[in-house]
Amino acid sequence: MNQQPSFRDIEKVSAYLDNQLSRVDRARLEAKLAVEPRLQEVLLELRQASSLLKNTPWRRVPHNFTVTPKMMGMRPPLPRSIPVFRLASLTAAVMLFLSFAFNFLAPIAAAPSLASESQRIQSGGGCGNDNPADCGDVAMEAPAFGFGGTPGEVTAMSVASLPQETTTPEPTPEAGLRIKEQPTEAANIAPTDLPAPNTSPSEKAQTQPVLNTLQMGLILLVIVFGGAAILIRQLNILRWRKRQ
Amino acid sequence: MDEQLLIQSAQKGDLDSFNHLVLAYQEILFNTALRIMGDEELAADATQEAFISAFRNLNAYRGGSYRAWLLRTVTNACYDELRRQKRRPTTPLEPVNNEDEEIESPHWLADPDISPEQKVEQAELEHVIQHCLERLPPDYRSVVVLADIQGLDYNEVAASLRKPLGTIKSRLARARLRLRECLQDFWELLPAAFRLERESNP
Repeated sequence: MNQQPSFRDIEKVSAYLDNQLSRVDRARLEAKLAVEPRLQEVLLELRQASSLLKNTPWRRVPHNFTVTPKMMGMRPPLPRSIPVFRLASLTAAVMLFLSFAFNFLAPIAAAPSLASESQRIQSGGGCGNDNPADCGDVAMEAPAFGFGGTPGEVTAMSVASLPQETTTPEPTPEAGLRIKEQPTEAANIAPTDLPAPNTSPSEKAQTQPVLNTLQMGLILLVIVFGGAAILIRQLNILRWRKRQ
Repeated sequence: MDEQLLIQSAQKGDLDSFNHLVLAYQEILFNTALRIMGDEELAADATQEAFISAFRNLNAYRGGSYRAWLLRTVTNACYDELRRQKRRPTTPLEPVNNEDEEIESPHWLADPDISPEQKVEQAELEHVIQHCLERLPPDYRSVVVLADIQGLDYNEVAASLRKPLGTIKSRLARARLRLRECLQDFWELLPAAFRLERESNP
């Protein structure tokens, strides 16, 4: 009986070494071992291999493997007051943004009508000192931008009412004399007689303060609530770290 | 303190309780990782990862052997690292002597509290065992490390590796057979006590 043991027998021998066989299997294997010297050899070799592994030197740990809150990505719990402060500072910030938005958008929306108005006035508006009623007519007829009229209409009307004297003939010496003797209608219009142009939006902005009271108040609220939220959070983190 | 109480407390998020468990089990986890990985630094990394993973998944622990549960996390961490190494193989930096030659058995790995003779013997044994373990497939290696080196019973090994008992028995027998073959190649390097045992039982 010197044949090579089967893997099934080797498996049983391995389990036998660890006392993992049932009583029946154990008795069967012991009977087999008694008559099979090759199986006894296997038993010896497996036992040696196993005992060698059991004697493997035990290595000391290079350092402690304790875990820290940072390793775990743990964050301190939020104090109850934090959401209230956050909401308050957020609301104040939104209101501040909206107030800025209104302040900036209002002059931009009004700009086209003001521009056309100033253009009309600078070009003389088709009326001179001789016939001031013309100015009144144009002003009455031209619908204001934003009240049913469009900038296009206003410009077209202004251009139509412009005087047709813009083309000047070739100057001759005689004509020059005539010009000197008979001043033109345009020359009669003294600069002081022109209506004063409206002040531009930028000039208006210069005269007004940069921030009004409401905006100042909102900025203060944002700073106070935001700062309070940060402060409370930091204090909470410090207390949490001490506890940990 | 009672282990179950510590586990319950850690499950509620108490890091201190968990760290008590870490201190109790760090050596067994580190040595298991070391035998599977064969490198101290990689083993330390795997052990640390295993403890972090254990704390995060502590609520998944539903009783039974806590040691087996922890060993499962460390073997999983080792398998992950081995897979990573397979994808991106690296050359480890070996310590060198004064002549800039690599030291094959680094003396800094040894325990400082033993005699030089024991130190040499231990280093030889460890070297041979580690070499033979590394020649085993990872599945066999983990079984033999848990059963023979850590002394777990078959049920604990099965729980640790989530494999049926029959698979564990079979893998352990195969692993021991392969180890036996490997050890025969290094017979002269094995400790004297082990050689005498073999010589007396030829």
